[in-house]
Parts: sequence; structure tokens; C-alpha cells
Amino acid sequence: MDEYIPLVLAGVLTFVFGWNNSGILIGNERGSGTLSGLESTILCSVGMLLGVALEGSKTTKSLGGMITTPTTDSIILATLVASVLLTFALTAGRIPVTFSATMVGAFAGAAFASSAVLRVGDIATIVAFWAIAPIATMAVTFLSYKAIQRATVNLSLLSVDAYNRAGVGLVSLALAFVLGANNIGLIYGTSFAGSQPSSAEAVLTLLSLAAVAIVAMALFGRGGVAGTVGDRLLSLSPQGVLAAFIGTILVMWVATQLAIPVSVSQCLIGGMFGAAFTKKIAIVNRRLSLEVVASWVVIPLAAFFLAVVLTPFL
Amino acid sequence: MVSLPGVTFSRKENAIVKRMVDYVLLVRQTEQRLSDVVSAVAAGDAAACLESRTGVFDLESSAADVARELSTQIAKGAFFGGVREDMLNLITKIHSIADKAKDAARLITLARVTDPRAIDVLRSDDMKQFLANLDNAVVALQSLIEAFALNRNTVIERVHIVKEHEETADTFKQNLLVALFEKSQGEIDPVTLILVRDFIFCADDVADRSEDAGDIALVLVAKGYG
Repeated sequence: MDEYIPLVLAGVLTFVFGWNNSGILIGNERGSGTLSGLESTILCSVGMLLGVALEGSKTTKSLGGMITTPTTDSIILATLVASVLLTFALTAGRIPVTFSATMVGAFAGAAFASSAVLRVGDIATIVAFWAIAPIATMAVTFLSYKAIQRATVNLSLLSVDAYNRAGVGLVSLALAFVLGANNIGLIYGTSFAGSQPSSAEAVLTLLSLAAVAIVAMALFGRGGVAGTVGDRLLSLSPQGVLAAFIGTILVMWVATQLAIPVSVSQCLIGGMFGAAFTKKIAIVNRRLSLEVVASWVVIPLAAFFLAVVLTPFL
Repeated sequence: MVSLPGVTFSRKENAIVKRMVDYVLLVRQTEQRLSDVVSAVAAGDAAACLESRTGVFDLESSAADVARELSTQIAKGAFFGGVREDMLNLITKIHSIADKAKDAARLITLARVTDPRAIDVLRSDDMKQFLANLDNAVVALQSLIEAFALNRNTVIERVHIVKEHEETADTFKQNLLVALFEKSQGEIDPVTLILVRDFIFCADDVADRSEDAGDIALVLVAKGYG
């Protein structure tokens, strides 16, 4: 296999990743009125590049080193092709897609079709983390929201407004950091079999992939997908949204340290409910929330079967 | 002001709120001239009527310019996105106070009031108290805007004060209307009756709009403090 084909596919997948997450990064920030489109893009780009450079290597072995080993060329190609096809279709359809779940499903399907030995224990660990992540995020968000409310209760309206605006910028930076570290590292790590490239080459490639994601973010950062998760699901105050993002960022960071791929939507849904529960009254779009949760199961299964079908041909 | 080393997050917003306090003062000056208009109408002094009415109109026009300037500043990117439209609504509502004062001044000077019973109503203590409470409502609104730089509880307290003055103004409005219709008993000519009645209703809107502005402040508190 030409060694550049998986890298090109990783580049395409990273582009789709940037596109899919552009709303949640840039769109939300622009929507808050805190920063312009250009300022939001710059801030998120800095966050993403830092995340990729400092912690992107932590998830490079999440698939090839955990679910099965050794990884073959056909497993890599099938994983990347299935992931690209599925994520592109869903992103074009403005449906939030969990990249990590898609790639794990595709990788498991490709490994299964290649008769590779699957480490069921590692797969179970990843799936268990996905189940726990929304609950953990809910808990962290609940506590964060309480802390934010306590800290701001005696401030003036002007000060609270300023903190809200500053908070949006900071969480956008941090969210871009953890997204870059967890997801771009995962995509890169899936693109090579055998021995890992040198750290200098790895960092350079990771940064290049981050640049691709940034281009997609800049092109498509006007809302869309984030509108589904944020605006249509729940009605939250600015501080509620900030707390939800803080919870998401912390849980995603922990996942990165454990080399477990996790998606922002998996955490953010939990975070939003955590913020809503502090008020005891929540207006929830139940149909939409069920659809999003169902997608966490349906999409990785779809990726699994798609990879199973593609593997013999690659 | 909220700041980190080298970065200040609320300088623009602080300046806007300070300007809003001055703006409410200008709106108050517009509304305060109403008592001069009423006195001139009751005295039958046409020149004084014209002068005081022109004064109200000029002040309202100045207030409109300031409102436009503030709205533009806010629309260009001050305040958090979700709060911005409420601030714009607040400015519009404050301007409507000056607008109503202008309408009231226009109404009462549309025709000369010569009926002694109507003039009695215009000169009555109830009218003085009514106009005084309109002014109190606007002063309370000014104090409310100043509280944006203080804390949430003070804002809420001052919203209630605006409402109290509006309710007191309502009481004197009722007294005036009763006096007007009791005194008329078919004796005040209908045009004068309608003129004075409409003036009272229009002037009362000054307090009503102050109360509405206070309601917007409550929304700002609800949104801002999560």
C-alpha cells in the first residue's frame, strides 16, 4: 500500500471532522456575540494546534494498540474509508456524528472481517467509558454550575456579562484543545501500521492534520450541527452553557489521558442535562435527545458493518 | 470593571451604562417640562405654552439622537449576545418615555383650554401629585440603571420602587379622571373633556413605560445570573 494513501484519507477525515465540529467551536462563539468569525477561528485554531502538539500523541494507539494488534493495511484502509464515507454523509446531512464511535466501530468491523483477534476487554473499556462519560459530565457540570452561580451572585450585571463573555472565549480555546488532542490524535494513529514514526515526524503530521481541520472549521463555522445540539435540545442560560462546556472539557481531557477516544457530543449532552438539573425545571426536546442518544449506538454499528463489507475489497 | 493584566473585558459596557444614566436624565428633563406646559395651559398663556411645548419637543429630539447613538454602539458588539437585544429593547423603552411626554405636550396644547372646570383640574393638587409621581418613576428608573454597576439585589429593589411610583401615579390619574368627569356632568364641552382626558392617559404612559423598562431590567437579571 502506498504509505501516503492512509495519510490522505486521514486528511480527508480530519477535514470532515473540522467541518462537523465547526459549529460547536466557532458557531457557538459567534452566536454568543463575543467574538467575530475571524477572532473565533483564530482562537479555536490556537487551541486545536496546542492540543494536537501537546497531547495528540496520547490517542494514537487507541485503536491499533488497544482493540487489536498487529494492525494490517486492509484494516487501516477499511477503517478510514468507512469512517470518511459515514461521517461525510452525516455531516452533509447536518447530523451530529461521533467521530470516535464511528472510527472504533469501523476499526472493530475491519478487524473482525480480517479475522484479527479483537481484544474484547479493551473494547468493553471504551464502550463503558462512553456510557459513563455523559453521566460524569452531568455531575461535573452540576458542580461547576453551582460554583459559577455562587461566584457571581454578588457581582454586578456588568461584571457578570464580562465574565460570561470571557468564559465563552476560554472554554472555546480549551474545547478546541481537547478535541484536537483526542480526535485528531486518534485519526492520525489509525493511519499507520507497524512501527510509529519518529516523534518529530508525528508532531509535524499531527499539526498538518490540525491545519486541515482548521481550514474546514473556518469554511463552515456558521452553526449548523451545533444548532442541533445547543439550541434545539435545551434552553440554557449563558452560565449553564459555560458549565456544560467545562464539564465536557474535563471529561474529554481525562479520556485523552486514558487514551480512550470520546466524542464531544457524548459528553456535551450529559453536560447540558447537568446544567438543566440545577434549575430543577428543564424544557427538553425529548424526540431530539432520543435521536442523538440512538445515534451513539446506530452509527458505530453502521460503521462496523460498512467496514466488514469494505475490508475484502481493500 | 472586570480585567486581567493587560486586558479589560467591560470598559465599553461600563461606558455605555454611564451614558445610559445620562440619557435617562435627558429623558427626565423632557418629562419634567410637562408641568411647565400644564401651568401655561391653565394660565391661558399662549406664548408660554408654545415655548414650553417647543422645549419638550427639542429635548425629545436630543434624546432620540442619544438613543440612536447608544443603540448603534450596542449593536456593533457590546454585551453578551443574548443580553444585547434586551439592552436595545431597554433603550427603545426609555426613549418611549420621552416620546409619550412629547405626545402629551402636543395633546394638551392642541386647543386653548378656557373652561374653568377643566382649568381647575389642571391646577389641582391631584394634577401636581400626578406629574410629580411621573417624575419620581423616571428618577427611580435612572437609579435602576445605575444599579447595573452594583449588584442583582439592588437592581431588583429598584425595579420595585419604579413600580410603586407607577402605581401611585395611577392613583392620582384615577382621582383626576373622576374629578374631570364629575365636574363635567355635561357642562365641560366635549372637545375640552377629550383633550384633558387624553392628556392624562398619555402622560400616564410616562410612568407605564418606566415600569416596562423596569421589567426589561428584570429579564436582564434573570438571563445574566443564570
